[in-house]
Amino acid sequence: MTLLDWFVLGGTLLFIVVYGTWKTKGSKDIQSYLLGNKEAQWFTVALSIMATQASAITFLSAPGQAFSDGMRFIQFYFGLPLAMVFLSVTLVPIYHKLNIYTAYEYLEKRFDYRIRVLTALLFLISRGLAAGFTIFAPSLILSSLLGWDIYFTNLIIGFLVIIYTVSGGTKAVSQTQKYQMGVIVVGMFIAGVMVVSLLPNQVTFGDALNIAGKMGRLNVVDLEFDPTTKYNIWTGIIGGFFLALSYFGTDQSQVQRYLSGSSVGQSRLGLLFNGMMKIPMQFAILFIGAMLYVFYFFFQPPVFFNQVLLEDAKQTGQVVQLEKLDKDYSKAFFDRKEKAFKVVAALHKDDDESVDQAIEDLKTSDQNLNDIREQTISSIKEASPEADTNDTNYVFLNFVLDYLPPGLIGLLIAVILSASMSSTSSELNALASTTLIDIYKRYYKTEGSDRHYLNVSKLMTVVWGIYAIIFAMFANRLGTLIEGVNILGSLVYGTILGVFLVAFFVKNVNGTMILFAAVFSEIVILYCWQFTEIPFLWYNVIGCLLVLIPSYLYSIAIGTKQKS
Amino acid sequence: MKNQEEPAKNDEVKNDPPPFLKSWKQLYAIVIGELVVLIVLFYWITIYFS
Repeated sequence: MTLLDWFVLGGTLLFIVVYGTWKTKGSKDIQSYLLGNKEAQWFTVALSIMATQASAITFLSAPGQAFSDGMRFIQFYFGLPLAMVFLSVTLVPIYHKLNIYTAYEYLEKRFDYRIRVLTALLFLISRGLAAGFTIFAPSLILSSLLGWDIYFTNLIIGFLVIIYTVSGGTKAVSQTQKYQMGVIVVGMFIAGVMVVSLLPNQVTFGDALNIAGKMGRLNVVDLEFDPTTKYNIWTGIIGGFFLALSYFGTDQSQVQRYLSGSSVGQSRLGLLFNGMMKIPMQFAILFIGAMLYVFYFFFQPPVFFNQVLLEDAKQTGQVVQLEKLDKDYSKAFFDRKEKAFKVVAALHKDDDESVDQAIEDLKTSDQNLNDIREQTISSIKEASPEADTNDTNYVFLNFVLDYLPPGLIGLLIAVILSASMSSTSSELNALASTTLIDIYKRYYKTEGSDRHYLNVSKLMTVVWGIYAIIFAMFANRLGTLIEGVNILGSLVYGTILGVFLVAFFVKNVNGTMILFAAVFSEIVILYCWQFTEIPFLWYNVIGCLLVLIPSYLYSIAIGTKQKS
Repeated sequence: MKNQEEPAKNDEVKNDPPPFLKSWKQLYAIVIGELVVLIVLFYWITIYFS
């Protein structure tokens, strides 16, 4: 990184933190601190919702996923707009009417305190761990690529977030998220333009689309119904709908965002705007990955994108094998590059037959390159069996560091850190609110002054912030990072959603019945996770139905009994 | 301790109209319509470029 990069990075982050802290300082009561006095307009609500969901992992993992697996991951979001409409019709008016601070308060009004505590605890456990992940994921990658100390990176991200979240509460979170989203959108747009503009002169944007499509990277929609496939339109619409419903409807880090809306209408608009923008935004991020795939046909990519791990492996007995593979890889790359130019020439001739033939040759050459890459990964694995050899998350930042000019590198690192901070701040804010409202105020000090609760919520924010930093320090790998967070959420979201849906739509169900159903559902979900191959998106559906169906049957039985 | 054992009713909440259109139903239709258009567009991209 050059001095200019440091200036852009430091300037951007400091401006957001200082401005956010200054602009929102001096919350005098708990309503102001936790819900921003319910003054937020829809645009602020919408950006806050989007910034909370889009963590650094989104921007690091998604382009890498499109690079290695194509754009089919987009289908994961197909259920989201439907969930936004459903929530706007059902939950938003109810939450506003009850004038609550947390989603779990409602469950005590509907059932009893045990359900409130159970769901609050499930939220605290899952979101507490996820908060550590949101700090850890970008720290791991930045420290690896830039040589930064991972502990130092964790501390910087964590403490910057704690400063403004403690100082200004929800208002500070929303205010800073507006600017963080601005930085993210501008940075990613520039990155996308740069990938395409850096392609060789004779390769047009249309050529890039054709190559990406014919090489399986524009596989956006898969209509085949296969419950074992992770991403197709059906898992996306059904599983994605349930996941989005649980996340946006019952996860306090999101509920708190739209509870701060000045009216039902403003909260609804915030959610609906998110429903309209999320898929195009995610498409754009994945598209960068697909274009990167084409870019690396013409510019040699590293044989393995986590180069620190590769260099470490070269310090072992694998060095001879790895250096031989390096040479083979370079040769194979130039062969593939030649084939890629032949595809471009065939495309310009507009002759389908020669295009098909050129693509077949390119696929053979690409397979050859991939075989060498696989052998390299095997060597790295032999050198350090414990190492995480999934380098998907390093693809995008490698491009940024190797090909973007000074200044833009700083901006793109600011994008990653802004995304991490925007998600973490919402999470800390929500964790503190839930701990205060659903645990502390409910059980330990039911009658306290506003000042007392304000101070306790600030203290809770600091405590959860430190917890997240400590977790980040010790976090270990869990598949690809973006999946790790989603898997973690899916283990509890379905059950919590089931409880909320019963609360809204099923009569005659009491606290004991719903408690049994929720515990049973959690046991089954944990069993599925540990002992079956069911894709994690289905956990949301299964968990929800395991609460919903027994409760509904119970309701019918009680109804029949009462009639008779 | 409250234990109402009844689902919540949301019909008591006064709905403010959306700022852009006549009713919320129209806005919901636009959100769902956009999803349909995007899926059709993405499917076309998948088929056309493959």
